[in-house]
Amino acid sequence: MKMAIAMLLAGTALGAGMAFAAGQAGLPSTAWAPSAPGAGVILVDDDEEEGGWLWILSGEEDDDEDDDEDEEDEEDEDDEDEEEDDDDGCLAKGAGNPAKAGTVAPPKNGLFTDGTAPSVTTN
Amino acid sequence: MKSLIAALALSTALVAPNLAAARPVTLTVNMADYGGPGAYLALYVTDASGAYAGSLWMAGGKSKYYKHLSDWARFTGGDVAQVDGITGASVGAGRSLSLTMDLADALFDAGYTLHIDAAVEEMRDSPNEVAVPLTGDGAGKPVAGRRYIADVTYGF
Repeated sequence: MKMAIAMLLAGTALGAGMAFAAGQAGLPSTAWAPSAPGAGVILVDDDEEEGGWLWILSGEEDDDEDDDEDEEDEEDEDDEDEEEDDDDGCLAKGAGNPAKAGTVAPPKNGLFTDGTAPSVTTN
Repeated sequence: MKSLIAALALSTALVAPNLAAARPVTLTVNMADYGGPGAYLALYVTDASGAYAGSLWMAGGKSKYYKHLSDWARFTGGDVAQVDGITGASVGAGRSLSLTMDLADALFDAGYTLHIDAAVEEMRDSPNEVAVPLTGDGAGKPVAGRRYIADVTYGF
């Protein structure tokens, strides 16, 4: 019993010490605290490869899940890069991306002649 | 040997009509000047009963955005295998996408409908932006979109 109490005290003292040290260093004392109003979570991703998701806190990004009416809020972005990838707060589901055209045969869904791939042009 | 020849003849007889029953179809999607980044588009077909028949093209390669193509996502459960090998880049405002593919003849004048779901980052999702019945008579006639697509035309 004495041993258990001693261990408990030691653990408490160690935890308190670490919390104090973190406070001194200006760090939050909790590991997860999206507290500031307007703070959002943005997704940083490595473009083409899935699987390397990193979530960080930021105060400059809104979640786009709301499907709101601010569609006219144009940002005057250049859309020259059609595959530009920004981070919009969509949740990653862990599913991979589909194979691009030309890398594998089209699905055998009965719509295409087997083995023929669509050819595509954009202007 | 005879059975082999018979099997070969039978398989040829089964396959040949399918090969013949296809035609090259060119589908052109003209995007409106909606003032946003490139649009994700899901092009898919439903049959006469309204059931999902298959996908023709996916414009936009990131599956994490596919949930915004909500009708397509509902039909497919977001299964990316449905668009393996038929996926390309998203399409910018004011641009056009032209697809040429060999489609089964049976799709035309049989109650099939081409649907396009559209989604643009930070803008409203637009499921079933366009629904075009696939008919011989409809070839060459533009069909207007609702939000992001100016019009869609298919031709033989």
